[in-house]
Order: sequence, then C-alpha cells, then structure tokens
Amino acid sequence: MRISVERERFADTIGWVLRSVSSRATLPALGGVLFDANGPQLRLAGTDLELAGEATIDAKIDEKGSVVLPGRVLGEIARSLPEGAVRIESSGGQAKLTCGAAEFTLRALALEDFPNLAAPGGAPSGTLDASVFAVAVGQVTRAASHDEARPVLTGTLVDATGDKITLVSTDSYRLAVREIPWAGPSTAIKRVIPARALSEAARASDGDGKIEITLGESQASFAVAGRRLTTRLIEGEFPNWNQLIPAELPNQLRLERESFAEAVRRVGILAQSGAPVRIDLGADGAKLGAGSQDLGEATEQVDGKFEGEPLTVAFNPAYLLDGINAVEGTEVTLSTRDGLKPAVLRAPEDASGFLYLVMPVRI
Amino acid sequence: MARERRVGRSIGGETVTEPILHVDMDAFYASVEVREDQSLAGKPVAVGGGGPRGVVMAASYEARAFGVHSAMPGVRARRLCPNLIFVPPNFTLYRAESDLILQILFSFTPLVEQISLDEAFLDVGGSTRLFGEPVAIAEKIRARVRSERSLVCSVGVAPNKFLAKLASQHAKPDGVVHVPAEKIHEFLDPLPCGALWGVGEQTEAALDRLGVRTVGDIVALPDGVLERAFGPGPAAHLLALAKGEDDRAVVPYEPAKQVSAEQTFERDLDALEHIRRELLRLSDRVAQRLRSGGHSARTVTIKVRFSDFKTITRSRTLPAPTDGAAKIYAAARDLYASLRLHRPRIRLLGVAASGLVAGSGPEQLRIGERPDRWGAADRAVDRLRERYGGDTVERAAVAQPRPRAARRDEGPDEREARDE
Repeated sequence: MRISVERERFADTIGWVLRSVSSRATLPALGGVLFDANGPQLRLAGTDLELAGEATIDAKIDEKGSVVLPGRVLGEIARSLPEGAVRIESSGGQAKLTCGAAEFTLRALALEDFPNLAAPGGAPSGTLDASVFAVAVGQVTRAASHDEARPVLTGTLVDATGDKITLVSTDSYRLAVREIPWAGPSTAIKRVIPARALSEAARASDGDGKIEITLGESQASFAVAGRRLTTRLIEGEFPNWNQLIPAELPNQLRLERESFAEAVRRVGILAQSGAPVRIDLGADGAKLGAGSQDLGEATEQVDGKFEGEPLTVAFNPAYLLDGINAVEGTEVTLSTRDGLKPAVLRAPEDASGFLYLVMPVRI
Repeated sequence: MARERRVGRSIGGETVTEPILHVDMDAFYASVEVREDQSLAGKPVAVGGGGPRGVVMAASYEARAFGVHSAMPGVRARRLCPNLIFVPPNFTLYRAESDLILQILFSFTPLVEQISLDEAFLDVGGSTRLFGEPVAIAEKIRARVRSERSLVCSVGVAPNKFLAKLASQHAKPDGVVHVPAEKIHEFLDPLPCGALWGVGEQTEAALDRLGVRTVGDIVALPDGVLERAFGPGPAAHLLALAKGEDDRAVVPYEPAKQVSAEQTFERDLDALEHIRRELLRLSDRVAQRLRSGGHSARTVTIKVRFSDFKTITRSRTLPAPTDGAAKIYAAARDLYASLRLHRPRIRLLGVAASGLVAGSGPEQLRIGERPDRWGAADRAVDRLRERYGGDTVERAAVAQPRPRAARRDEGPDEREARDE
C-alpha cells in the first residue's frame, strides 16, 4: 500500500476512529486502525467489537493494499505531525509514515486478526439533520445509566415510526425523551442502542449534512459525511416509559433558564454528601435552599411565573442541572404535583419535543 | 473533647494521679447468655459457631478451664472440652446490654471511650469530688453492674490507658487492680515483654535474643541497644511503654465511619439465589445497625472472598444517603452482578455501608417506585427485633432454608473496614 493524504483531514479522522478503539484490547489487532486502500478512497476503521467506527477520506492511492497500525501511537503521531502531506507506505509487516521531515516506521499488526466489520443491511430507516441529531443525543443520553448491572438502562431507546423518531434514556432517577419528526419506516422499529454509541455517532459530523440511520436486527448504524458508526444493540426490555410520564401536573413554574441553572449551581455548592437542593415554589417564583448543620445554608430567589398551590420539593442538584441544561431556549417550566411525585422540565409551550422527568428527593 | 493528658491532674487543688479506668466485662457474651438461660450456669459455654468453620467468640470461665478461649476454631474447642455448649451469638442482645452498661459508666463521668461492646476507658479525674477516689469509683461501677445487670466486670485503675488496660487484665476475673503512679515499675518490671501493647511474637523473639525477658530488662538496657535492634522510632515507643508512659487521651465519642456485616459460610456458596439471599440478609443487618445508630450511608461496599481466599471488594456511591435495607440490598446485588462471576465458590460475603451522615437522610426516589415502601416496614421490624430478639422477623426471601451458614458469624459491632 502506498498512499498520501492531507494532514489535517487525516488527524481529524484518525481521532474519530480511535474513539471506537479500546485502549485495553484483548487482541492486539483490536488496538489498531485498519487502513484499507483497495477502493477509490482510503477507508480507516477501528472497533472494540461493540462499536465500529469507519471513515473514508480522499487520498492519493499510488498502490492498493491494506495495513493495520497501532491505534494509540498513531493517534499521538497524527496529532503532532508538521505541515504537509502525510505519506504512508507499507510493506513486509511494517509501515513508513512520513510528513515533512518527520519519518516514523511502525510495526504493523496482524491484518488477518482485524475483524470483519458487519453493518446492518437493507435501506436506511430514515435521515435527520446531523445538527438536530447531535442536539437530541446530547439531551437524552445524559439520563442514561452507567450501571452495567442493568445493561438495558445504559442504552437509549430509539423508537422509529413513519412520522417521528423518539429517543429515550433513563437511569431510574430521571428520564429524558426527545421526539423528532422525520420520514421513517412504514413499520415501527424499536431498538436499544448503547448511549455511548449514540454519542460517538453524534460526534461524527461537525453539524453539517444529513445523518442516515439504519436500525437493523442486531446492529444499528449511523452514517454521515463519509463516516459510519456501527454498534451492537442492547438486548432486554426497555421500561415502558410512556406510562411513567404524568398526564397533567397542576403546579407550574416558568423561569428564565440560565438564571435558574446558575442559582442551582450556586446553592448546590452547599448540597454536599448527597444532600438535595430544596425549592419552595410560590407566587413570586422559586426560592432555592441547601445546606447542612455542619456546613451552613445557602439560599437564592429566582423570579418566575407560578400557577398552582405553593409547595416545597427537593432534588439532587446534579440531576436537576442536567435537566435545565438540556432544555433548549431561554425559558424552562418546572411542573410537578407534590414533593414525592415526578417533576417535569421542558421548554414552555412544549415546542421542542423534549421532556426531562426527574424524581425528587424526599426530605 | 480530647485534651492533654498528664499523669496527675490538679482539680481544686487536689491531684488525681491515677484518673484512668479500664472497665472490661468478664466473658461478656457468655455471661449474658448464662444470665438469660440459667440452665447454662456453671457449665462450659462458648458463644459462636460449633460447625466446621465456626469460631469461639467468647467462652465462660468454666470453658476456659479446659483451655477454650475466644478466636479459637470451634472444632478445636470441642476437642478440648467435649461437653462444651455452643450458643449462637445474639448481637442485638449484647448491644442492648452494652448500652445499659455504658449508661452506668456515663453516670460517673462524661469521659467514656467505648472500645468494643465489652470494654471501655473512663477518665474520672474530674469526678473524684462527687464519687470518691478512682479506686472507689471502680468498686462502685462493679457493684452497680453486678446489682443492676447481674454481670461481672474487672477494672484497672492507673495513670494512663495503657496501664489501666494491663491492670484490668490482671484484675480478671471479678476484681480491681490499682497501679499507683509511684508503683508503675513495681507493677510493670516483672511482666514478660509480650505483655506490652504492640509487642508480638517477633518483637518478643528479638528481645529474647538480646537477653531481655521482662519489661524491667527493657528499661535496664544500656542506651542505644534498642535503637540498633529496632530502629529509633519503634525503640522509643517500646521504651515509653516499658516505662509505663502513654499520653493518649480518653476520647469520649468516635463516630462510626462504617457499618458492616459479614458472614463466613460452612460450605462455599455457588448458587446465585443463595448468594443474593445472603446479600439481602447482610444488607438487612447493616441497615438495621445504621438505623439504630441514627445514621444513613452514602456508599455501599461488598466484599467477596472465594474458596482460595482471594478477596475482592467493590463500592458504589448512592444518589442519596439511605438507611433502608431495600436500597442497600439493591446496590449490593448490582455490585455483585457487575462482577460477572461464573460459577464462583464463595467462602465469605460482606456488606458495608460508609459515608455516614446523621439522621435517616433524604431519599432519592425512583421513577415508578412508591415512596416509603420499605421505610415504614424497616422501622416496624426494628421494633419487633428490639422486643423479641434479632431473628424474630426476616424478609420472606431470607426465610428460606439457609445454605448452612455459620450463624451470624459477623463482626461484633460497627467497625472499620479491614480489606485483605
């Protein structure tokens, strides 16, 4: 194989592909990046067997071929290369990478050990604006669990119908839902996709273009801008989230979103060792408070418009902030029934299709 | 509350030269059991497990006459004393008893430092006007423990904690030993070196090679000999102890850092169902202790020891502190699941709760879970157990045939983690 590629594009692409490569691979080849120069473009790929990232970039291909090079060191090299074209030449179990006056000779990894990357067949289930997709993924995956003991909650439910795609995550303390209209499959498809895979898919594009989503039987893939992320699915029954969303909440507070977030952040400083932030909802808005006997107290008033009966409700400040930050727009509404029932954060008038449910802390 | 200790404190012009008491219950667990069941009186009794992996946790003096002592494997104890009666431990009872005895101690001074369920230090330097000389206080404590609790204790009276503890060992059973400041050497010098706190077999052997047999021999050594043998730090420590010096204060209250329960199984566990049941049982105990101590915990740790003695621990911090058995168990079960063990052979399981905060704490509610589902039940169970004993109420899931467990072979009280 003998190729040359543009340095910046190469470094950027290697960086993205490496996000799917495990730093602690069980098989040496799994710690590597595949260079495949047998087609019209250069294809780079990496996988940890759960995710696979593949990217094609323009390259001048002087001699066809493939090689697997060690990922971690390749990433460091790519980041630190000087100006100029990157030339890679492989032969006899090693590869020479030159750029400007710098020259690296790298031992290649076993090409035959590099797994065949399967991708779901069939037509894509639908497409979305990459920027819309990235925002939605950011809004939803933050509510996913990191607890491997309940694998299904480490995933995001992707529920695709003919007219909308819905993303849902929950760690059982909070739940985030985002609906996006699209032209989808004629028969509904539900898949649970590792939240991490969605985040990597969202990083695949710098915001331009359309992302093509394919929800297969055992895999899902996301393709945008010459990059494709393929992931295995998570098996198991995702909680029936629809029935968990309260239909009507009598107490509603409308607040300026950024002031609310800042107040939670400030008052939350004194909510240590798992202590909650209390919110007194009343006619003039929200009065936040937190503290403990050993530490002291913090309070802050955030003005807002309130409908309903005054009440007090307490939250884990990190969960609350995650929700406030996920809502788009300048305003947010906090709706609840009482201090023991789920509260809902969303944009006023519910225009964005996003909802964040958070369970209170009983005090 | 900690303050500087001096040998001798001046109060209103008087000087109390031996203000420290070490109160040590005699064969505590065994004595409590005998008191509760008079048919055991006068017989050799061991509290603990009699099974293949059981350990003697306490032995009555009748049993000790056969050479049975605590920490001895049950099998060995039975060999020494074929008529030995094994009684399963009942820590709820011992804890309650310990609390009542503590109340007696607190009526003499606020400076009470409980070391374990059956041992405490007192600083009575400020109490002599009210209650008399330290030796008189020691006798009053013994009289009240005997009349109010029908139990026997021994007391050491000395200028500091180290000497008071040594003195109480010499007072056993059922006595008082007073080590006056001017007679420290008379008391210490004839003792074997091993009597000193922290002198184990190795140090003792090293001292023996120097020709040092007694505490007096240590003090008599020429300068520099100890330093060369043990290094300057340990040498200074050893010499201070040999001279009967100890400046540790009686610290009245040390909040628990961790509450734990663990269980060694007579036969290794391998079935997930049994493992979960034991985790539930242990979680339940831990939660109960949290509640009885008025604590909630933020972090749950499990300890798993395999048949080859390899031991692993895993921790998780909860979204909010809890004193609920269900929440602690959920964390313990998830931690166990995340180990992804395939056909393990488990010798010991432990559950610990740390990151303690006061009170029952705020509770992070879960989606779709009714609040306080377990809280009220937990507290009702506490009341029943308090009234009728530790085993009165068990969770249904626990009340299955047990995988023959060495019954409640868990730590006697709240204690710090000892990871191995």
